[in-house]
Amino acid sequence: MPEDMLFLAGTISAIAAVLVLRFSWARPGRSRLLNAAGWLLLALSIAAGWAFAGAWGVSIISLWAMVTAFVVLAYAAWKSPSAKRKPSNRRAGMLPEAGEPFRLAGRLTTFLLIVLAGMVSSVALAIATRWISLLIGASEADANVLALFAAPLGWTMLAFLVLMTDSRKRQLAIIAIPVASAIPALVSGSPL
Amino acid sequence: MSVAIEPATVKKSLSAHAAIGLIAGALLYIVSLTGTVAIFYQELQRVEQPNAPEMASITPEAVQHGVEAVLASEAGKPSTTHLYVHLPDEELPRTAVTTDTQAVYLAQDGKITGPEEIAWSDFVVKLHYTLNLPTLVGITIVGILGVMMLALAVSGVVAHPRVFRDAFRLRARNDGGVGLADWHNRLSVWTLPFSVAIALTGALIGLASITAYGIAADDYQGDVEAVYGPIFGEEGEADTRPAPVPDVATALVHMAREYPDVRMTYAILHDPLTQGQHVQIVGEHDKRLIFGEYYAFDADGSFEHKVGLADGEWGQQAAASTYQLHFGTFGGLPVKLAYLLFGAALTAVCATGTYIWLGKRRRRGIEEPRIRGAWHGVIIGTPLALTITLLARFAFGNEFPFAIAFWIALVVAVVGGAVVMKRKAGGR
Repeated sequence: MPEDMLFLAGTISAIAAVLVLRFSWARPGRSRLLNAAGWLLLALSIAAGWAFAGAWGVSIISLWAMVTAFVVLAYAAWKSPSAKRKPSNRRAGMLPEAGEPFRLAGRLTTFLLIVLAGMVSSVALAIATRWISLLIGASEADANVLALFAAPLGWTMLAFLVLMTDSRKRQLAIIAIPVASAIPALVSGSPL
Repeated sequence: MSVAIEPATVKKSLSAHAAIGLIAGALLYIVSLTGTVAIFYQELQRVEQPNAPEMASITPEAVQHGVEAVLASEAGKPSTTHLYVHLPDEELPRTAVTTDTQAVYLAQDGKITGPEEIAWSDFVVKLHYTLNLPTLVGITIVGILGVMMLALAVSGVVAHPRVFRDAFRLRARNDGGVGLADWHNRLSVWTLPFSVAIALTGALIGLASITAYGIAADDYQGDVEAVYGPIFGEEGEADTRPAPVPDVATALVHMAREYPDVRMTYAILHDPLTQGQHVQIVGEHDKRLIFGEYYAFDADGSFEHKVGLADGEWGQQAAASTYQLHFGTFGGLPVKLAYLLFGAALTAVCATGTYIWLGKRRRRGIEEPRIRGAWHGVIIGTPLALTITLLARFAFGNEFPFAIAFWIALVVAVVGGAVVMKRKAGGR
């Protein structure tokens, strides 16, 4: 029964966190106190979820917080007055404007860098992650799982960083770093 | 919360966000939509084949009879490498036996009642997992889409410094672009934990194969199964000499006696009818994200060991938690309904991103009727093509070529949309 109360407290805290943040962010001026209260309630709800049932509890509590936000959003949509404001015209720079060159070769190179070179680089990062994990004493299961997580996370960051960089040299360096990091693992073999 | 980010960084990030979104947008939309439908895989099976026998539970003896009957039905054919018995549970109260070549339902007494006919449900799941491509290629592409979704989340947050500050501002009643952008940004922010969890677990599942190939080439002499062995348990030594049907019933009785709180979901026979055969029972644990724990038994039904997915290394527990977290099967109907809501929101985010980009270009005087029409084709065509295949399932049966029909219908919708919009624009 005390466990159920903990879960209930976590759920209430998650819902309250969203409502407090809603109230705080709707004010004309920023209130550090209210913001802090909102984030603190959210942190408490996650702590309660973890104490109740670990990752399962955190997942459930997070879902309730998101559902609450959706209800608040639905209300905002319902009450929304007709907006007069002009929409943003910020250029994304994805395609050229009239008269600008298309730079097909450059675009294709960037695409291949992210997809093909990114794949090789992220697998290399996984191999390096596993090798280092084993070296510092992780079990084989933990090291292999860390490697499986490292590939998608590493690839995400590589894709983002490559697209944030204009210089082709710097892009190649970003891709090359994880490959270089795997060289000791490839050369020295298994620490097992 | 407002984060001070350099304007140049914001601009570059918006460009990165648009680039990824436009290149991967259509496939992300298809994967998001099919993933949202696939949340209800168990329920869809019941709709697709409503007359299959249902039961709250089944006795170990009936399971044993069923296993023996299925293996006997395959006598004289190449023997199956694995045999899976799905045990009835709340979400799918059916007992089904699947081998390498067939899937059948069992009645309460263990008799075979007929074939499992859930080809449409399986098609939707396969479309989500592999885009109906060969498994390794398809699952890797879907894994890459997971990576792109994560990169979209990162670039989206960086490109919109007020994204949290404006998290509740929804100017829905505006058709000039503000409303669309607000829907896109608000749904993105509030599904962010969900999107990151879904994208990361999806990318992990999708890229596990190629990552494991890399690790295996580096450290396991190319043996990919050896990468997974420390996590999910090793396959036993193969011994192809013939042997009698293994004792599944004794294993199930042991589970019920020793682990009364564990919900048994599957009985798996490895290399049945050989001397190397062994039995695994998969057991779900309450209030856990793991899909279950593997309980290993020998062919006589004697308990050997647990693999450790429930209480072993944290890596094992984390790896075993990815599937339920991805498919929303860890908390019954309430969680599935929440996943339906957020999955629909994520699908809407994928759809609106390209419309926002097209809208900005239109406001700058650049009209692209073909691209706009093709995008209409993707957005309307995907659910339409899914609906056509579902109707075809009921009209033409289980053998209908769902994947071919889906992709033809989608291509027609995309090309048709482009042609119609171009003609409309030309007529003005």
